[in-house]
Amino acid sequence: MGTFLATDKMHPALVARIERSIGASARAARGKRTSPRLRTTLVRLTIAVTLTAIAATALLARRRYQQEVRRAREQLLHTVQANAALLTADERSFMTRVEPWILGLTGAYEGDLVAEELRASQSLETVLARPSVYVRGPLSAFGSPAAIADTASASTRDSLLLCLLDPPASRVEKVVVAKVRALYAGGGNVSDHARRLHEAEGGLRHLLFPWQERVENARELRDLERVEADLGKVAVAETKRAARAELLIAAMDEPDEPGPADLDGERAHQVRVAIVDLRAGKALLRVRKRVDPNWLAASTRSTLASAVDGCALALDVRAGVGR
Amino acid sequence: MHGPRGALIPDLLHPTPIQRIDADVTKVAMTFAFASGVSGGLFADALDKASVAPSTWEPSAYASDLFLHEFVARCFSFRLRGKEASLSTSHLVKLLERPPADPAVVQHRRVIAAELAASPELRAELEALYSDLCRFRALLEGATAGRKWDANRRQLDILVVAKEIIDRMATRFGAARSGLSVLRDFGQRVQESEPYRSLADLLRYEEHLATVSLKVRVGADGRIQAFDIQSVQENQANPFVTSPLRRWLARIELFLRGYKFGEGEIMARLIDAVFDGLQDDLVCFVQLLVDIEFYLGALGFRDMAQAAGLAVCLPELVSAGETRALNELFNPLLLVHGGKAVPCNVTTDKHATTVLVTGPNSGGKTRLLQAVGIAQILAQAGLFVPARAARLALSPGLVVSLIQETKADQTEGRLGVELIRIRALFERLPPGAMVILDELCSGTNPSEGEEIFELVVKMLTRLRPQAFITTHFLAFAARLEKERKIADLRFLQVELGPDERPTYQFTPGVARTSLAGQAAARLGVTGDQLLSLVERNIAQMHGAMQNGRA
Repeated sequence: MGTFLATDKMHPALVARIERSIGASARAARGKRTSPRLRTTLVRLTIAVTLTAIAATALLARRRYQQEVRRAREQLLHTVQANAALLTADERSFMTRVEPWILGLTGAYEGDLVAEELRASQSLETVLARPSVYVRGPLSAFGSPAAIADTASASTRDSLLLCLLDPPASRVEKVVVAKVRALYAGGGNVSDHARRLHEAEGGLRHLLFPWQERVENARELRDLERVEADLGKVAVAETKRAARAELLIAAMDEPDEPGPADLDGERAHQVRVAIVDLRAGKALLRVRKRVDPNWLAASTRSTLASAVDGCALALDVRAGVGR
Repeated sequence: MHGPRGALIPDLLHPTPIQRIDADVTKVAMTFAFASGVSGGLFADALDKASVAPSTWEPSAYASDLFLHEFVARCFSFRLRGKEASLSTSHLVKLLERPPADPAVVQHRRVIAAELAASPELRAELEALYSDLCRFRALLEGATAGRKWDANRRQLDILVVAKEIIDRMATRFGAARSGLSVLRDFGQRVQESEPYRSLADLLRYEEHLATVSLKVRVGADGRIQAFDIQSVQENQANPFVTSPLRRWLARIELFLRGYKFGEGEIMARLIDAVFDGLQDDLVCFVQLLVDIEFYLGALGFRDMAQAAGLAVCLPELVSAGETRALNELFNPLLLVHGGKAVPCNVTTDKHATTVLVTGPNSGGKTRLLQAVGIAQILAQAGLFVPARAARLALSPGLVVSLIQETKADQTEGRLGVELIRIRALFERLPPGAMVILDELCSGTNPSEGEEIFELVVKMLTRLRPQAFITTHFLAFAARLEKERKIADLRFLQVELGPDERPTYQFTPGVARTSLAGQAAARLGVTGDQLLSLVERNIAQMHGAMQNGRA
């Protein structure tokens, strides 16, 4: 048994004596009774082994955990990078192209506009068949990009959009109500190419978030799991589909006129409706129409005033383009 | 004889070295002392139990009568660096009490003593070696423990002194032609051994682990402006030098083995290992210390005599049939008591004689007997005798019986005690031994005492002893001288000066008077002196009685 006290340069006899001095030699170990020093040695050895085992276990567990964290981080980074790669430059800049148009519509109304491309027969259908995003909200709720985002999140594919794309046969209340009911019941498949602006705005906001930085800053597995959960919420396909929209269809409700409101809050007011060709960078349509639920029967007004008004407004817009 | 590893023992007393101490027991004691700094008198214990060379002498037959213990304590003293040496008196007495039976041993010692007396340089070296051995003993026995709290430092100091001792032995006794050369042989043998090389390496390691080269720049104001370490170079050639990492691992190893976790513990283990290797040689120092005391003590005795205007010598050893001569013999016990020792000459035509010494009281007879006895003991031990020149024959034994004080537990009267002494004398007296008897048969009436005296002397002559006997039976002695019936009987008397006072010299013949009257007058025991004392006492008592009545 060797010892760290001895060196190669020492005489073997000296080495033997050093080993004997510290109890490392066979002679010292021959004692039948356990000496106090041997007992101390055993106790210290046991403590040292235990501590070493604990430390080694902790070290290994930590190492394994860190490997797991590293692996999770790499996977997340891979996902983040893959998601980022899915977006084209046009898609990334989608909102920067949309927002100026919306902000422009909120100012003083510039008068009705119907582009030449829409005047021809069936040209509106052709235009509306193109991929589009839709947003509707109070005029005052579009004052800034943040406000636009909030408004977009509250804006749904309502009866105005659905009837614009798939109008009822006539403006008769019964027909319009039936159409609205049919569309709300899921009969609006023809309008799938028109997406909510929120899908583009919200999706891009998530996709363009500095995920890589967040992933890299995460030190613990639970942080990465949180990131992964957040990243899972991003609907990439929907975002891409929305961000590829060629048209912006925007509707802005001007303040209500005085008078009693219906149960769903609908009152007579002006609505600005615009269709913008985002690819061409050109407004195709800008009209200002009045909606008023007074034309509806009382039974309809109590439940569907806004929806029927919206659908009727769509017919009015389409009618305005035709004129 | 050789040591435990077959190594030469530095025995200065015997031509063939003898391990007189119990080496195994001493080794254990030395290990304990080295480790603890507390020995409980390791050297003294070892020497108390040590044996001496075979001897035919029986100390109980003479030692107390010759005050040997006092003689060694007072006459063998010597000073080193202005301080009185602390002698191992008991062992020195043992060495003198039991002189070696082998004449070769006596001769061996005589040659060493002669060389030391002739060479002040060798004596100085031996004194220096003794001084180192005393330092070694003091460190080992913990005499300096109060000043050395660091156990490693203390042990290293012991090893440093041990190395100095070995080096001194190896290098300073090259000129020795006597048995002192055993010191050189021993020192050189140890120097060539592995334990010594390890010792030297360890001490170098302790004082020279590394060399650090510094560059110091001093400004005009004398202050240090820059302090750069140019290089650090470890003494890699030294086998004890290891890397810092290895030293750390060694500390951990020691900790796990139950030792302390510290750099000091590493050094402690290394010191232990080195000491373990040297132990067989270091044990020899115990015996060597007293051997040196034996010779330095003898030289100290020589110095003491010379300071008193007396001379000592190594006697010429002759056979018992040759002339005995002790020129200017003196009693060293007189010197230690501050008295004046008057040297005298004692000559007999041969040793195997019975010398009857007669003379007045306080004439120096008993002192002569002591001087003769001490001279014989010292001669037998191979040392200087208290005489300017001497021719002496070695004797196979010595019996001394001087007048002793009455003891409280004594069951016999004075004659009875004397008769017991005579009986004991014959029980243990070998042929040719020296016999010294003071005032034989003085405890009974002269006529009966003379009969016993004559019987004893006659019987003694059959053993051809070297006998010295004092007596106050002057008429009886004169008759023996005149009749010459007993062979080999010689007579010495105290010489008286013109004023009838003893000159403390001795001449052939039988004294005519014991001068008891002179002694009585000198001590105030004449008729007139006693009468005046009686009258004075009566007057004092009467005075006291009258004062009491008043």
